[in-house]
This record gives sequence, structure tokens and C-alpha cells, in this order.
Amino acid sequence: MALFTQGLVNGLEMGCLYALMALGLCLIFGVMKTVNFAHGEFLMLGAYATYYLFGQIGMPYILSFILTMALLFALGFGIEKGFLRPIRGNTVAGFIFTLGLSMFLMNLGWLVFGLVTKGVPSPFPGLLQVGTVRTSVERVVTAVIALGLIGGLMYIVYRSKLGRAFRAVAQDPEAAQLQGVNISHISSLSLAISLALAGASGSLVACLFNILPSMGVRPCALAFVIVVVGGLGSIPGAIIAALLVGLVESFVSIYVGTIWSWGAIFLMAFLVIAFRPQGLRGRA
Amino acid sequence: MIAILSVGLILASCAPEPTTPTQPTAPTTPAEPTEEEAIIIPWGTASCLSGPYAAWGMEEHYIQEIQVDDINSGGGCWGDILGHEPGFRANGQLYKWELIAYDAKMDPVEGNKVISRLIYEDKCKFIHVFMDQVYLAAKSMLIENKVLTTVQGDSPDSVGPDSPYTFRTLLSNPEINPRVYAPWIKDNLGVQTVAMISEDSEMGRLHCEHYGDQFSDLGIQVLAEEFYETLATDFSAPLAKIIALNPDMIFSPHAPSEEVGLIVKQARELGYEGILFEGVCPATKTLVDLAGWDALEGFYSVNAVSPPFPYPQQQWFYDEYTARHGVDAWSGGLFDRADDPYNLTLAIEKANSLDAEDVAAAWESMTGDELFSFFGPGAYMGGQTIYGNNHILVPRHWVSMITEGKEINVAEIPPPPGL
Repeated sequence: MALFTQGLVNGLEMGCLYALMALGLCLIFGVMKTVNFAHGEFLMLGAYATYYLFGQIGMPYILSFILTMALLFALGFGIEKGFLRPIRGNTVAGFIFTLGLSMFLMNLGWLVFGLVTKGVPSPFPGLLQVGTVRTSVERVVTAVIALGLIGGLMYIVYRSKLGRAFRAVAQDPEAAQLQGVNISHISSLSLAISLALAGASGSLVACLFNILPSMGVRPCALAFVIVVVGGLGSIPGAIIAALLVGLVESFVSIYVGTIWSWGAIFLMAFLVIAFRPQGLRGRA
Repeated sequence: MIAILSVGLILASCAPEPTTPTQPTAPTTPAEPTEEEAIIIPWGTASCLSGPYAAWGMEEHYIQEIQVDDINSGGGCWGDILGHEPGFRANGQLYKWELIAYDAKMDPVEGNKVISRLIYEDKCKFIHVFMDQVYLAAKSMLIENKVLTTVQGDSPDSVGPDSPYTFRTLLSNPEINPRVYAPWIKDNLGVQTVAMISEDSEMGRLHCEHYGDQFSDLGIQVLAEEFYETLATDFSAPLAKIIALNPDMIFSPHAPSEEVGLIVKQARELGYEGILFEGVCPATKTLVDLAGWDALEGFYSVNAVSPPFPYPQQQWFYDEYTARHGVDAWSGGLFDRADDPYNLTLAIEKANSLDAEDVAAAWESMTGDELFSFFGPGAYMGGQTIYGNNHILVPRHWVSMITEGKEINVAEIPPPPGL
């Protein structure tokens, strides 16, 4: 029972982080109908921003976290305006651009940031123990921050005027435009928010794990699985899928073996797609 | 018009140059004897200079650059400590090395291309290969072309009678390390129970198997063996299982410091207070960056030597490496991979030949002072009882510990005999 509870806690903590990683991808697909293969590399940039701001310069972590999000937010505007806007509507061109951007950013990372794996000191050290269940303060704070950002995004998307515009563009861009929604502005904002969330994920991951230019590959693959399992473009679906992925990973690692956890995640994805192709919360 | 100009240019270039009448010259002092001209021979390396493993590959490349410069110049180690002239001799001819390094990315397909180029274009008869999977993919090509090969790896398939010209350079051997370190752990740390966590690779499982056998033979109970995917970052699940069993020691027999650092960090975060031990040479800076000095307090690792160095070659190498790449780039585990250029060169001199067969025979017969090791005296060529030939260097072994913000040497163990 103690091991089960430990697995539950680990799985939910990581599920919250995975949800944050995946939501940016989900948003950009929903609004811009673009698959961002470079999502993992923006997470990597967020991690390195935290490494330099918090780990090297000594800025307080929360300030470095906010600044990292702001930098990635600005980068999102720039990328949408400079590269994605001219090819808006062309799915294949968007696919190729983001794939190329992913490779470019990773290799640029090796050149600029170097070959050696980096780490940052824990901004929230300490152990939390409730009964026999143990976790680090850092993981709990990570989950809380992730939930906070997820809540913020949900509020924006479902309770704000901006969110109505996002949903309108996601449903029918032409109709939204006829209603006076500025598609270019909404597209820029969606990419900017997506990249800010990726940067936030990277900042949190940097404190939990290690930092290297290829660190975005696995999170990006997981994010894709989550988005597909949750239902393309469905934010609630992505959240549920992320928690499921976290729990599957944790329980399979504990009861079967860590080397089987990724296989189990992909098996789950396969089964969902086989029996419910639209995903858990996607529309048929 | 162009044709006329071209012909004119050709004729002009063929015309003899006007000479000035020679003047009688004063007698000169006899010329100083000129430095003997060395023949440059290529030493090729299939390195790893990019990708996730490039940090190790670049370290090895830096080591090779230092060794080649040292041998060619007769410098601090080759000249002053080993007493050699610049370069090396075979059949009376002086030779010097030229290091030719290509990026094999630790990938067998790339490695094949790179090694093929080294053999057929660069005409290398001496090649170093970074990692077993690259060597094994090109093994037949290397043997067919009689290339004297050194391999940075620990697979049993890389040495043995079917690899007659291949020598292992990595000193962390899955069959030898456990025979040395398991008894030391038993005698010095008082460990009764151990849990092992290792990457799920051929070498990870092999190291686990041999350590498991040694621990069991010594009466140390192995409570768990957990494996994870290479390059994993989240070890909370296997560590939770392990910590629930309350072992005296969590032992990682075969994992890079990028993973061990996270294992240490996450084990301490989960409240583990027992001994943490790494069974391969560490990259200390990476460990510290990932886990922090506090989490690493009392952490043990092997095959690394820290200052103050007891042997002059260690101090020389430390000075040379840090002068070129900075103190931050230093790791005591670099010694684990630094012996082979010297022993290869000494073997050529002993064989008095550049032929792979002659050099291999000479190398495996080298004993005592004929051999060089950064780990100190007493190393011998061994492996006969394990692999079927004496193509690995069996060195002194070292244990180090991190304490109070620094790494210290805690044990120097003579080479295990009879291998």
C-alpha cells in the first residue's frame, strides 16, 4: 500500500508537469492548426534561460522563471510574424518549418551552450514526508506552479474575451474573421503563450533534472502522445491524458520495471487511438 | 588573341632565368648538425565529437592531443618522466604521430564510414575507436587491414583471440572491477545489504551481474537490481522501490555521471541517508552541478585520482590538462582513459616494427617498467584468464570520496594478480 501511494504521488506530480508541457502544443494546434515539432527545443531554451539567469547570474528563481516566460513569449511573437504568418494555412509548409527549426535549435544549442550537461541548484530544497510517502519540496512546488499556470490558461481560454476569440478561430477561422477577430493577432498570441508555457516547463525541468541541448526530444514525444490521447486541440483532454501518462509511467516503473514505462505509455496511446480515434475528449 | 597570349606566357616561363656572375665567398664555419627528420605517421581516431555523448568524446580527444604533443616533443611525461627523445623509433627510423580525428558520433553506421576513411584514405595503420558498438561494426574491416586498434569500451566482444590486433584502453572492466572493489567495500564500509541501479544496456547488465556475484560470494545481500533506459532523468520510481528496502548502500555499477548525479540528487531528496557508490570513473563537476556538494557528501567513486597526486605523471597530466582547458574541465576520472597512446608507442619501440602483428605481440608481452600507467606502478598486461589473451592493462585501482566540498583519495589498491 505504501508503494502504491508513493507511485500515486509520483505519478500525479509528473502528470502536472507533463500537462504543462503538452498544453502549449495543444493550444497551437487548436488555434493555428500547426504541429510544432520544435516544442521540445523551446522547452530546452527555457531551461537554459533558467540556467543562466538563476544558476549563473544568481537572480531569484521566481524572477528568473517569469523572465524566462516573458522571453519565450516575445520569441513566439517574432516567430509567428516572421516565419509562420506567411505560410499560414499551408499545413505541409508549417510541418517542414517546425521540423527544420527543431533541428536548427538543437544544433545551435550544442554550439552555443556547449557539450557538457549542466544543472542548477534546487531552488526549493527539502523533503516532505507524510506517513511512509516521501517527496521533495521541489516536486510539490513544481506541481503547484504547473497547476497554477494550467488554471490560468483555462481561465483565459474559457472565461475571457481573448479565450472566446481563440475558440472561435479554432472552430472556424473565416467565420471568426467575419466577426471581427484579428486572426494574425490571435495566431501570434497563441504561439507566444505556447512558447511561454514551454519555457515555463523548461524552467521547472531544469531544477528537477539536467540540462543539455537534446533534452527536449523526450518531452516533445510525450507531449505529442498526450495531445493525441487527449484529443487534438482539447485542453481538458490533454490535462486528463497527461495525468494518465504520469500515473502509467509511475506504476509501471514501480510494479513492472522502469524500462517498460515508455512502452506502456505508447501501448496506452495505441489502445486509445484504436478504440477512440478522436482521443479522450476530442470530437468524432 | 587569347591563344597568342597563352603561348607567350608559356614561352616566357620556360626561358632560363638570367644569372649574375658568382663572387668568391669567404670560408664559413662548419654547419650545425641538422635535427633528424621524423616520418609522420597518422594515428586515426573514430571519436565522438557531437551529440549527447560528445562531452566524453571531447575529453578523450583532448587527452589524445596532449599525449601526441608530449610524445612528439619529448615533453614532460614522454621525455622527462619516461626518458625518451622526441618521437619514437622503429628499425632505426624516427617517427612522430599525427592525430587524425573524425566524428563517429558513437554510431555504428557513422563509425564504419569514418573508419573506412581512416584506413583507405588516410592510410592509418593505428586507430583508436571510441566505444564498443562502433568497433564491433567495423571489426572485420580493421582486422582484414591489420590495423592495430585500441578501443575505449568494456565489451568482452572487443577483445579476445578473434580480435588479435585490438587492445582495450578503458580501465573500468566489468570482470575485473568487481573483484577489486567488492572486497574493499566489504572490508572498509561494513556493508551488509546493497541495491543496484544501472542503465539497461549490455554493459550495465554485465557489470550488475559480476558485481552481484562478487557481493553474494562475500556475504553481502543484494536486495534489488533496477534498470532504467539510457539517458533517463527521472529515477524516483526505482529509487522509491529501493529505498523502501532500506539497503546499506545504493550502488550504480555502470552509468555516466549525467545519470549518477541525478540518482544521487533524487535519492537524497527521497530521504535516503545510506552510502551511495558509483562503480565507474566520475565526472566530478557534472556530479556537483546536478546533485550539489551536500547531496554528494560521503559519495564514493572509483578509478579516479585527486590532488595531491602521489605520482609525478599524474601531476604533469593535471597541469597540462588544466592549462589547456581550465580547472573546471578537470576530472580525476580522466586517468581512466589516458594510458594507451604511451603504451602503444612503447609497444612499437619494443617490437621495433610498425607491423600490427609484431606490435601486438610486443604489447601483450610487456611487463613491469616496460608498461606505463597514470594509476601508478605495478600494472601488467592481463585478461588471458577472462578473454583468452593479454590485451588489457590491469592497473592499480583507486577509490575516492567526496567530502566537505572536495574529492579525496581514500584507497590505492594494487592490481589484482593472476588475470
